Amino acid sequence: MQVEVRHKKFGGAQILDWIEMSVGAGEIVALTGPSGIGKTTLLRIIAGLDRDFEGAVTDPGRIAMVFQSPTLMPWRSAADNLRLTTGAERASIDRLLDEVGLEGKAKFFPGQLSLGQQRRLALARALAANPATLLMDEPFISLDEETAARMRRLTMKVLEGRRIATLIVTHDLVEAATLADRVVMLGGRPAAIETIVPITTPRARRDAVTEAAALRALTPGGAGNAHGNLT
Amino acid sequence: MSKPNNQGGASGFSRISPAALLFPFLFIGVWYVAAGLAGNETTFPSPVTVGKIILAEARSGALFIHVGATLARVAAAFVIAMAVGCAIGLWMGRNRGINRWGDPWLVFFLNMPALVTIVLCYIWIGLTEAAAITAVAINKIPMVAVMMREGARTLDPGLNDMARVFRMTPAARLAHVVIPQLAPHFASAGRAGIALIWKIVLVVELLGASTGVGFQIHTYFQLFDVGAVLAYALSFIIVMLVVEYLILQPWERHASRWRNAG
Ligand SMILES: Nc1ncnc2c1ncn2[C@@H]1O[C@H](COP(=O)(O)OP(=O)(O)OP(=O)(O)O)[C@@H](O)[C@H]1O
Ligand SMILES: [Mg+2]
Repeated sequence: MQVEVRHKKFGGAQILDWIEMSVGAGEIVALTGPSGIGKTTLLRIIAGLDRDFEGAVTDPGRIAMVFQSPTLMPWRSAADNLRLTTGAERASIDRLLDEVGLEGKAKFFPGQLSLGQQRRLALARALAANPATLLMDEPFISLDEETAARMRRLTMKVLEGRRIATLIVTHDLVEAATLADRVVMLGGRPAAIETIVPITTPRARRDAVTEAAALRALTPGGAGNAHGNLT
Repeated sequence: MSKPNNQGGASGFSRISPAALLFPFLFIGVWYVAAGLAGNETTFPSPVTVGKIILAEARSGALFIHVGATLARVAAAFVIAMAVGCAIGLWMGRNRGINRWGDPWLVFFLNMPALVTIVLCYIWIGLTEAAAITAVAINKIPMVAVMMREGARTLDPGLNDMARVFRMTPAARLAHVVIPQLAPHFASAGRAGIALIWKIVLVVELLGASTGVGFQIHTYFQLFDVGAVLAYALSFIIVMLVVEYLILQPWERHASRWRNAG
């Protein structure tokens, strides 16, 4: 999946400047930057929800999105929320619900699930769509740290072995360093890519120590100078 | 947070509240006492007298013919008003330009007295069934449109984005995203509508029909037969109560069960 935005305006205000990035199959890229910089805007452009921009999105394939809030249909059961949006089969729905730890909750309405469970259902829905490109907009926000950590591990586990190009928006640098193969930081006004930091530690070996090291690389004044190749 | 009255038995009857079940008895009791105090069977007949008239009219078949005719008109006008009103309301709610142009028209028709619409329909279309039903529908359409427009404005943009990203088909979107959000607005438009419609139908029948509860009330009014007037009015109210408690409310409960689950 590649995206090239030459510029994006809302009314008169230019929000995004020239941004070009690509995410390969099986790759996880984290997108960070201060609040209001245009991360959600970029995601909506990639998702095809906002076509009012100059530039192009190439080869996204089938797109699935995990929104900042779970965005489930509260009047449909958990299983129906997967089936009606993605057309997934009964068997794969049951398998996915198991995978995200919602076994036995197929008939529950979203209102009967906790926020963390709703988030997992939204993740399961995105996976049920069998996407080539997965977009996640701060998927773990407003969860307590323990739940968020559990969700991160779960996300890593389910993405493992699937050839999905994943772009995950996050404010949380630890989260970025734990999940991603590459961290793209947006900055400036209008926003452009400021830094790209590759995380070289294999995902399986990312423990607290390497996370801390990665984090140092990501924070200003650290070793983060990898204005690397955009692809 | 579930309400205790949602955990009753499975049958429709067991979910009707005791207050609703007791209501007919209380009503007849109050009426009986009031009629006794008034002491004039001609102008204020007792429930016993009216009950006898209802039975007699039912035995002769007249009751069913007239209540049936009114019910058919109510149903036809209701279906037309809901369909057209929903279409207009949703269109205006989703499209700002249409809303800007359509709004004054809506206010105009909203304030048009029912009587004027009825008289004009009879004059322009003729004293026909079509004119009667059109007149009633025109009275009701603006109100349905206003209520559905509110519904369309409150559609969740997040769910709309979700449906677009996941490429839900238009039919699936309508059935699983749009209609469930509009259902409460639809139910209250329908609820308010049916009460209004049957009252307008009576006026329409009074002015230009030869069947129906309105026609019978008109006839018996000229004969100064208060008992028969009450008999017909009451019979129709009973029909509408049955519709409300045995059809509308169970349907609404079914449609909103996701709210109370848990
Ligand atoms: N529909 C819109 N109309 C006008 N301006 C908008 C619109 N949507 C977003 N913006 C503006 O675009 C900028 C970027 O918004 P965006 O939601 O993409 O930020 P973000 O990086 O996702 O922030 P956060 O981390 O707080 O979610 C903001 O300044 C916002 O005010
Ligand atoms: Mg955002």
